[in-house]
Amino acid sequence: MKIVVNTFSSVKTLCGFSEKEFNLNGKSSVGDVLNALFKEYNTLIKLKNKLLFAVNEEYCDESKILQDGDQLSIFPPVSGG
Amino acid sequence: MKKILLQKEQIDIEKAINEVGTEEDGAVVFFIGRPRKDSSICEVKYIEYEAFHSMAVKEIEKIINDAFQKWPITDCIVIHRFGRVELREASIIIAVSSHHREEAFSSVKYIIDTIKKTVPIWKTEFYFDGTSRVYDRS
Repeated sequence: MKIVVNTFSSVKTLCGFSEKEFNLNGKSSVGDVLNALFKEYNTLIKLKNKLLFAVNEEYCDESKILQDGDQLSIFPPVSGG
Repeated sequence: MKKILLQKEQIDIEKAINEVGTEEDGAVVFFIGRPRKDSSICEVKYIEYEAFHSMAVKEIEKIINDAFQKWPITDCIVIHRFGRVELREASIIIAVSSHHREEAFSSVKYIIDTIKKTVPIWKTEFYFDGTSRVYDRS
């Protein structure tokens, strides 16, 4: 199945992309995708315990199981206002 | 009335003030957030805001709906800038009207406190020495 990963702020800087399509084999969680990203973009590990996640624009945690066509957004703690 | 805007342009504060409130409302509480010149690193020259636009609007809408559930308020406007915001410019305005002042004060505080925790918007500080830093509240 295919999902799209969106990144923002410092995550976008560390990964070098703002949007990228990923092919997943079988049942995968947000955490599985994150671990794959840590292997490919190892400087991202420094944000490991700070990252926030949203699937289809709803906040979730790493255990969320992904579905075909999902949009997974990964970003650091927010700082608006 | 509920209104949410994410915009690059400067905020027309007078227009926003005049949009909230009915003749029955005795209170309009207005919050203006602005970039601070001092930071832990260096003097700030300006700030750039990056937003996950569609999700940010949804999250602000949730916060406003919560405020309407918690307090008997009548109107609420939230306008947040993205892109470059200079010192002394408003980065965010929140305006809430209600019959009595307590609920307007309480809801404005709730809205800005929650926006700072949950709405996917990030700022980068640009300093007078030419450097910059992604602001990290964590």
